[in-house]
Amino acid sequence: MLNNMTNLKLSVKIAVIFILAFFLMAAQFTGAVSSAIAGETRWINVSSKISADGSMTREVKLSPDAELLKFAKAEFLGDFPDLIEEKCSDGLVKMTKKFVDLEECVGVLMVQKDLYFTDRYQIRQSLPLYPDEKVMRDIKVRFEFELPNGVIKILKDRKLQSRQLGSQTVNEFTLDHAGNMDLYYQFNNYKPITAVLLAAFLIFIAARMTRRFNFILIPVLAVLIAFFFAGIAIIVIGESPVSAMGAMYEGVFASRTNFLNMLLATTPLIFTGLAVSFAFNCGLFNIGGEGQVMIGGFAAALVGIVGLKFAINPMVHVIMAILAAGLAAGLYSLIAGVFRAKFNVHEVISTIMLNYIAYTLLGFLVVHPWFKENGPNPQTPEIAHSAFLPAFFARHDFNYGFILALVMAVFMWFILYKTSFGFNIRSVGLNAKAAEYSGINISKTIMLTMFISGMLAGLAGSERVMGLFHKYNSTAFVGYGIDGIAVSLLVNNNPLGIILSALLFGFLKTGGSYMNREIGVPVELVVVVQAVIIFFIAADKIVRNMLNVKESR
Amino acid sequence: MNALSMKGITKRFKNVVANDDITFAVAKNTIHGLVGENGAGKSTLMNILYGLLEPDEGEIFVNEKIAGFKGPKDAIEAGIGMVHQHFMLAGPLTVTENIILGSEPEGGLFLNYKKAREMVAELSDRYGLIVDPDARIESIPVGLAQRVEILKTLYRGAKIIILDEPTAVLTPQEVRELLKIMDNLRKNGVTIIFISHKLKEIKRITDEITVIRHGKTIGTEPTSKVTENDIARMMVGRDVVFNVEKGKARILGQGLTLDGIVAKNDKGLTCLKHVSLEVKRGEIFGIAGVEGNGQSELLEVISGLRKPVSGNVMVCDRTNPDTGEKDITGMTPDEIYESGVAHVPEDRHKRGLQLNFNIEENLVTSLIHKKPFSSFGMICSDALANNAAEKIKEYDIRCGSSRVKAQNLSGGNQQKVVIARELSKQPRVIIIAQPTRGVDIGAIEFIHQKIIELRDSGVAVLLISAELSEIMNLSDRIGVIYEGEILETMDAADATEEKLGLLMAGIKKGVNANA
Repeated sequence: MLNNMTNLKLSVKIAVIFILAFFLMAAQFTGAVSSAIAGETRWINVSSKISADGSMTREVKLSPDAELLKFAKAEFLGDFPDLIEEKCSDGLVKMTKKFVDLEECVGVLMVQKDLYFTDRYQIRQSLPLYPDEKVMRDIKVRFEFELPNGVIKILKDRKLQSRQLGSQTVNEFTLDHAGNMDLYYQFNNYKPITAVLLAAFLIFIAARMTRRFNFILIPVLAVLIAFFFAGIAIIVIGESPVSAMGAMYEGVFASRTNFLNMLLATTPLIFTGLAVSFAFNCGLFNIGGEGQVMIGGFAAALVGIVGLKFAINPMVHVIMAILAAGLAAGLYSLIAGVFRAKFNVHEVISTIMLNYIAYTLLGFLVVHPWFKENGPNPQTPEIAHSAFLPAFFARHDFNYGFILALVMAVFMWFILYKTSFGFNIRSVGLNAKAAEYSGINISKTIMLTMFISGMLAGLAGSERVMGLFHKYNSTAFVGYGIDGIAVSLLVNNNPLGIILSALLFGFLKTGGSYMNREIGVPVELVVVVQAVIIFFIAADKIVRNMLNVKESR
Repeated sequence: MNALSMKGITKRFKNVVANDDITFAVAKNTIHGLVGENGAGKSTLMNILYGLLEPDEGEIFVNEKIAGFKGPKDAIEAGIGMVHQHFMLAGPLTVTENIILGSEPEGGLFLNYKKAREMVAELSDRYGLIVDPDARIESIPVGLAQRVEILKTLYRGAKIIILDEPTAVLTPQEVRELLKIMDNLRKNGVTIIFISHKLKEIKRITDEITVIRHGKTIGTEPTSKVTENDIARMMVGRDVVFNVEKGKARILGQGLTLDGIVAKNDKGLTCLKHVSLEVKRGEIFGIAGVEGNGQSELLEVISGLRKPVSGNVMVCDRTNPDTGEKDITGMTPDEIYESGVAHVPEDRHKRGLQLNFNIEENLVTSLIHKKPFSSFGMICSDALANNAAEKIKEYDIRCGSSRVKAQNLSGGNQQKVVIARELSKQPRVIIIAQPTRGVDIGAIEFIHQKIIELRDSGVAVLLISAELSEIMNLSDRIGVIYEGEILETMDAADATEEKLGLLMAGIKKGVNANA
């Protein structure tokens, strides 16, 4: 009897959460909420017809608002004198211009035939920074492209960048002859989000009946609940939460490029997450991921540069560079390991100190004539091509380092749970006194574990150098080590779970920066959304409490 | 009139029923014994009585008035005091300061130490609990510290005192003193609830006993009407053999020899002063002594967890035991295991088990790298499972499955896991410390039998225990340790409780008592 009452209360709570989520979406559908908060939206319609001879005729339609006209002329028509301006029957103003040369750069608009594929058009439209963000907030642009073969592509609801310090942002995409824009999903398409929510709800109902899937369910629900709370924050500042969340989703799934960007962001986090997790299983806190990543990256860069002088077989070169990175970072971490094993210096302190040492030491080395490239930047020369980590696709940096990361995750899981060595490591981590009693050499175990942990972080550095930057510079490697700690803690230091956790962080990072670039969600809010999600997943007790799910023993 | 009565007390933790409809009454001015195995529910019940837990069902009546305790403060105000098994005293503070801690006498801004001293002295006289009010806790013996704990409760007006396993850490003489004190308290209007599983003491001092088993009250009987066997039967549910049957020892030859061991403890003080002893294969050598006299350090020296300052530890050769001894002084624990020495540690939670590992894994710690448990560094989970199934059967380890985590086993079953593991090493020499501490009566029987079996199969057994009856029951020869020295060694047949008790207190033959 008691159980039934609990289930009823529970189901009501869940239903309330989902209904509220649906209302949020519905509000966006009607535009009621965001208009109510943000004010009246002003529209600009930009139609571009591309002809077979390479010219483009662009037509801009908008309401006769002086401010808007000035803006549109500058941004979409290049402010040229040979504009044709006329009034339409519906009271709107229409401005037309013909751009003769596809290569013609009108400052902010460029249409090029794709360099590699002749039947693709690379279109670059940038939306610049304006000082008065209030003006810009309620302007929406609708782009329409007509290709020579008659195919039409429409981009709705492009918002202007309201806040980003420094640079312009660029909306860049390619259209093939069928009007396909890579893997483009219609922006603000509710279907995927709705599908996900419904699926989660159904899984939830099923799980409540079988009580089996709590361990996956709780994080999924945590994400949804987090989205809900983040959504509130987003409404408050006048953005549409569904647009913003949709943007985050789009920033990862809308195109192959975006998706690969996410995987690229995930790869180093798998390595640094593993580094933290491996050490944790021995009861050690390796906070030195920052420095170890750098040391590893630098070592890989050095081996890579050697290849500029001597010709080395690519496979050999890659393996050598990876080994060098792992070895260097492992030895660097071993320093802290020795201090802990022999002198009982807590590794939290020693590894943090070693981070500073690595950062400044490498910062110095990288401007030293021996290692510095010929140029103004504090970085090494680009490494030899034979040391590049092979990429999966042309024109994207996503590389086989990802595979190595997955392999390492499985390998670490295997070591910890299927070998006697891992048994000993976990034994020391759980109860060092009992481990000592059972004959394990604590000292040796600690040192070996710190070495392996550092080695893993070093591999992150090598992937960055060999797969992405192709050189070492002192500032681009900051943050991976610290994020690795969060990645690992989120899944309780389980090596396999780290793959999922790193994917989540990659998703948040990539989606977040897209949210910022494309939709104009301020960077600070992006960070808030990321933090809320991580918070709810980490504090799964809160989620369990909310849902009255008891922790399984 | 009943000082205390508990009716229908039920307490559930998730799906475990710790107390199931417990009902009993304690008459005023009596000593009431509460008896039960570990895990029977005594601690839960007392925590409920002391206000630390709230019962799911049932009522408590103090002096015939219903009591709804929301916390220990309510219990204390109702006149209930508790003396825990592990004392809650501050070492560097004096007796007086400890007694008044938290309930200092009114005196404005400053501590009125004089008044406090007077109050303590008055209580001390009235109840016959003699203590030095200015002595520091860390310098007084355990028996006196216990008196301070009792005074603490009396100072707060306790009329009902709960004593939780008070005799676990006392010498036989101190136990006698305590029983006298309890008698005195009873005469002075105090009601006592005496929790113990030491049946001899229960018989000696209590007026009535209540037996609890698996969370249920089995019965309340006047002590005079039941024998120790009756009580044991109520506790366990079957007849229990107290004294293990053992034949005469068959000595095979050298086993373990300690020669002049000098060692320092963690504080840097010398804790073992030229300890020399011999344990032959086929005999049980028991070391009696109150805890803290160097036993722990002695065990650590033998098992390689502590390096002695000087002296040697020698064991017979593992493969050819009759061919003389091997010096294992200062070797690492795994080397010592290889040399044929096994070790059942005194603290199974700290040393003996990985509580977060399951039974299968705990049965093979220190053996995991050997065949058949792992090959080429990879663990063979089948081998682990088979081994566990075997040992669970052989040692009657009560558990749901071999995958249960060690922390979820009862004390007795945990101890069985440790013993099963150590014996599977096929040792020539085994050191066993506190084998039945926190273990229920049923398992005690089993463990004692296993130790005798070991001895009969020709293993040299060094047994260290704070439980005098255990030492006397099992050993062939007995040595008494006091302040790091073996004061005297004797045949078990010549040992009496009196003799051993005196030695345990440091009183050697021909030397005057110094207390």
